[in-house]
Amino acid sequence: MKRGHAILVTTIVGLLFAVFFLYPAAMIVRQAFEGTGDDASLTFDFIAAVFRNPIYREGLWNTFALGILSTMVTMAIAFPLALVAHRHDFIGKKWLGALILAPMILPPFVGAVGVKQMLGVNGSLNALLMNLGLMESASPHDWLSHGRFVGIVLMNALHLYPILYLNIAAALAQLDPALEQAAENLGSPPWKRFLRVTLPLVMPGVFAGASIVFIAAFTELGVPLVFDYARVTPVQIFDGLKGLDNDPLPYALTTVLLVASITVFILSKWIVGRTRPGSAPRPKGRNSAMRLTGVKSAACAVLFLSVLVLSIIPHLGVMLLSVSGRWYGTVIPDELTLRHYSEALGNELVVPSIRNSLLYAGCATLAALVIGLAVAWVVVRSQLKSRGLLDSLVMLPLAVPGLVMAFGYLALSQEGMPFHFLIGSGGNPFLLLVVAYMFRRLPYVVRSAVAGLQQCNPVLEEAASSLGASPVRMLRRIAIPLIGANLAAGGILAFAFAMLEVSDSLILAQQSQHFPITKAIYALLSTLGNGTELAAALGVWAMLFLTVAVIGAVTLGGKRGGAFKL
Amino acid sequence: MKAKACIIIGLLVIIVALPMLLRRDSDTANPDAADDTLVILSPHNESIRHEFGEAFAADWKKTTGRSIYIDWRTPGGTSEIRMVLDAGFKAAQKTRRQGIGVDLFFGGGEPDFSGQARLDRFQRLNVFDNHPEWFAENGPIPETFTGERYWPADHVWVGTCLSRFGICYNPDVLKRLDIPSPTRWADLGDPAYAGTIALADPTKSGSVARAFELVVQGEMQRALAHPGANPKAARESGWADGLRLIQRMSANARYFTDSASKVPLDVGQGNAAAGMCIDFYGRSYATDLTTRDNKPRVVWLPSNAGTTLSADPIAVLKGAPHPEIAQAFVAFCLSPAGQTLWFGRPGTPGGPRKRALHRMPIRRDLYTPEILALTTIPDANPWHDKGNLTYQPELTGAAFGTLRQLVKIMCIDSHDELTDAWSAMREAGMPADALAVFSDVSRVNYATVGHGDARLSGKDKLATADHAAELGEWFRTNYRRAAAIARSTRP
Repeated sequence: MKRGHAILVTTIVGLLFAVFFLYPAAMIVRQAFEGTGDDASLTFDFIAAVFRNPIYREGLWNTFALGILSTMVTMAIAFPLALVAHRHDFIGKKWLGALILAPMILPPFVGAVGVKQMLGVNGSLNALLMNLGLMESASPHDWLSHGRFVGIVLMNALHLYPILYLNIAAALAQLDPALEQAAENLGSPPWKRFLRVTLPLVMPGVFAGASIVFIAAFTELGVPLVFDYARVTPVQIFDGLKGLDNDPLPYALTTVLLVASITVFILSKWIVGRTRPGSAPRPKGRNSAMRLTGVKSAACAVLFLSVLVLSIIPHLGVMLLSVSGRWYGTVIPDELTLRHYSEALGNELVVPSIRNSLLYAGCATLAALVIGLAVAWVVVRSQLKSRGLLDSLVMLPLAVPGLVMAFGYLALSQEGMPFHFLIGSGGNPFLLLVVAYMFRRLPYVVRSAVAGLQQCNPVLEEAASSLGASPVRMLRRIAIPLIGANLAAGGILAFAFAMLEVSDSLILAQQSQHFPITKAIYALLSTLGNGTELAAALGVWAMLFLTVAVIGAVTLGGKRGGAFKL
Repeated sequence: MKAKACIIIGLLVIIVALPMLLRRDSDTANPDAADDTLVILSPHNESIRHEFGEAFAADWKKTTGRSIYIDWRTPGGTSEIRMVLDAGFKAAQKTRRQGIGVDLFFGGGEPDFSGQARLDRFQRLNVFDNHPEWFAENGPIPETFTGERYWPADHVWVGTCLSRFGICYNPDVLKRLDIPSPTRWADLGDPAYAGTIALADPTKSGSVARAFELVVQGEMQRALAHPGANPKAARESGWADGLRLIQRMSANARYFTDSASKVPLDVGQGNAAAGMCIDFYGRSYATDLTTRDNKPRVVWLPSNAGTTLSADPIAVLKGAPHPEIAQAFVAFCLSPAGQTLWFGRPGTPGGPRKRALHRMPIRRDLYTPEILALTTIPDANPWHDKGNLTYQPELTGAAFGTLRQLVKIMCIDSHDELTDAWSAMREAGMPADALAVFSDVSRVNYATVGHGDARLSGKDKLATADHAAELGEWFRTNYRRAAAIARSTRP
C-alpha cells in the first residue's frame, strides 16, 4: 500500500474515531479525572482510589480470570468444531454447521428469565430430574447460586463460541489444502500436521476471534447478573453508574477496564502476531473434506448437536416462555398458548421497530464494512508506524460500557451541542444510532478483515497493481473476493449484534416511532401481567429472523465466495 | 442454489409479514395525524402508559375536539431518567434555552421529585389554583399522610397515586422450607430464609432507599414506644437494631435488584421464597401467577407497622413545549376520571380498558364501598390501615443518604463475606460469640452517623470513597472473623 494512501486512510479513520467515539466516551469518563476542588483540575486520585479498595481489586481479578478462562473454554469448544467441519463431511453437516451459530442471537432482557426458567429452583432441569427420580422434590438444587464462577465461564463460552467458530472457519477456508497434503505425503502424523502446519496458518483467524471473545467475556455484564455475581468490574461499573450518588468511581473503573482490555489485546497480539503474516499463497484448489460414514459420521453430528443443545438452553427457555400460559415446576409449560404472539406482534410499536432496526443495523454494518476494511488494509498492508495504534484503538468500543457511550452521545446530541446535526427532523435518531452501532461493532469487522488480509498473499494485489489496475479496481476484483469469507463473517456478527444492541437503543431512541426492536422488547416487558411472555414472544421473533438471515448469508454468501465452508 | 435462495427469502418474507398482518393501531399512536402533542418522560410501566394515554386522549377530544399524540419517553427507570434530565438541562443551560423539549415527568418517588425540584426544574402547577377544593383541609388530597409529603408548599409537583413497599412470598416455597408466613420485615431476617430472599437495591432508587430507612425507623419507633424508655438510649438501640435487621435480611438475600418486577417474578417462579416488593407489582403478580390448582404463587402484604404510604408524583418541566396541555394532563390525573383508572377493574365504568393497574389512587374520596366494589383491590383501606408506620423525619431524615451508603458498604459490597459468615453461623447453630462479632455496628452508631455523616455521603467524593473502602474492610473483617469463630465451634 502506498504510504500516501495509508496516511490518508489513517487520518480519516482516526478523525472519525476521535470525533464520534473518543470524544463522547471522554465526555463521560472525564468525570473520573476531575478534582474535587472548585477548579476541577486534572487528578488521578480516583484511579488510585479504585486500586486502594479491595472490593474493586478483587473485582478486577475475578473479571480477568473470567476473561481468560472463558476464552480458553470457548477455544476448546470452537476449534474442534471448526476443524471437524473443515476436514470431514458428515450427516447433517450443512444444517448443523449453520445452526451452531444460533447461540449468539439471544434477545436482551428475557434471556436471563429464560435461563432461570430452565435452571432455576423450580425450573425445567430440576423438574426433569425429579420426574426421573434423581432429585428429591423437597430439596431441589439451586444451580444458579452454587458454583457461580464456573457457571459464568460455561455460559460465557456457550454464547461466545460462534464468534470464534466463524473466524476459525473463515481462516480454515483460506487454508491451502496443498500444504497439509504435502505434510501428509512427507509422512507427518495428523497431530504434528495440525501443530506445525494448520495451527500456525490459521493463527490470524484464531487471534481475531479470541481477542474479541476475551474482551467480550472480560466486559460481560449480562451473564454475571444472571448468576447474581456482583464482584466483577462490569457489574460494579453498572451498579455505580446507576447509583444515586453521581459517584466518579464507576468512570474511574471504566477507565481501568479499558486500559486493561487494550493492554491484554496488545500483549496477546505481540505474542501471537509474531508468526509471519501474509505469506500464505492463494488456495489452489477446493479442500476435499473426507466423507465419513457410519459411526464416525454420527459421532461428528452428535458432537455438533451436543454443543448446540447445551448452548441453546437459554433460547429454549425464552421460546417456551413465549408460548406458556403457565410454567411452574414442570419440564415444559403445562398450559401452551399462542396469545402472547398475537398480542406482542400486533402491538403498534412492533412493525415500525422492525423497519427501524433493519435500517439502523443494516446501514451501521455497511459503514462498518467500509471503515473496517480501510483500517484492516492500513494495519496489514502498510508500513506506517502508527498502524499498531490504530489497530488497538478500534478495539476500544468493545470494552466501553454501553451506558457510558449512550450517555456520551445523548449529552452531545442535545440542541446546541456538536452532535445535534445527527438528529433529524422530528427528533429522528437515525444517523446517531447508525454512528453508535457502527463504532460499537466495528471491531468485529476489523478483526475478520485483518485476519483475511494476513492470510492472503499480497503478491496477487501487487500483480494487479503492476498490471495497471486502480486501487479501487484491485480491491473490487482481487482483494474483496479473496477475503469475502472473512468480511462476511465480520459483517454477520456486526449486523446480528447491532440488531440486539441495548443501551444505545434504550437511551437514544426517544420517540416510539423511532424505536428499534430492542426498545420495543423493553416496552413490552413492562406490561403488567404477561410482560415477560410478550417480551419473549417478540424476542423469539427477532431470534428467528436473525437466525434465518444469518444462515442465509452464510449458505448463500459462502457458496458464492467459494471459500466460506461451514 | 436458486431453490435455497427462494426458501430463505420466502422464510424471511413470512417472518416479516407476520407482525404486519397482526398489527393493531391505537387511536393515539399516529404523530402525524394528531392536532396536538404532549411529551411525557416516565418510568411507568407500559400498562399505565397505555391506559392513561388512551383515557387522556379521549378526554382531550371530548373537551377540546382535538386529537392528541402522546410522545412517551421511556429511557429506563428513575436512574436513567435522572441522567437524561441532567444531560438535557446541562445542555439547555449552556445554550441558554428554556427546557429540554419535554412537558411532563410522570412517575417515580417523592425523593426523585424533591431532588429535581431543588434543581429548579419544575413549573408551578395550575391545578392548585383551578381546583383549590381538592387540596383544602380534609379535602381529597392531603398535604401529608403517614409522615410522607403528597405535595410541596411551592406546588411544583403533586402525587397522583399511592404506593408502599411490602413483603411478597411464595406459599409453596415457605411450605417446603417449613417457615411460617412472614408479616413484618423482621421475619425476613430469620436464618431459615438463607439464600432465598430477593431484595430491592436502595442505592439506585430513592423510594427503595426510603423503604430501608423505614426498616431502621420501625425499630427505632418500637424502642421509643417501649414503656419507660429513655429517648436517647432508645434511639441508639433502635438504630443499631435496625442496622442489624438489614444485615440479617441481606445475609439471607440472593441479590439486590433495581428491577421492580424481578422480585415478584423470582418469588412467583420459586427462585426466591420471599422478597421486598412494591405493592402494585406484588398485587399484579398475585393475580396473574397461579399454580395448577389455581392457588396464588405470590402473596403480597404490607409489612406490619413497617411502611408508610408514599406518593407517586407528576410535575410539569420548566420550558415545557406544550405547557397548557401538560397542566391539563395533571388536572386529568387528579380528577375522579383519571384516579379511577389506577384501581378500577378493566371494563367497569371509568376503569381501565385493557389491564388492571393495581394501584391506589391518591384521592381519599374514591375509597367508598360503591367504588371499591368495582376495583381490583376491594379491601384497600390505606387511610385507616392500623399497620401504617408514620415517618418521623427528625429520627433518620438527615441520615437518608448516609444510610443508603451504609447498606451498600455493610451489605451489598460485602455480600460474599456476609453470606459466607451467615452460612457458617447457621451450620454451627448461631453461636453467640460469632453472632456478636457478625452484628457489631459500633462504628456506625446513631451518635456518629445517625444525623448524617459527611464521610459517607458528603460532597468530597474522594474522601467518601476512601472511607467507604476502609469501613467496608472493617465489616468484611468482622464477617470473616465471625465465620472463623463459627467454623471453629461447629459441633
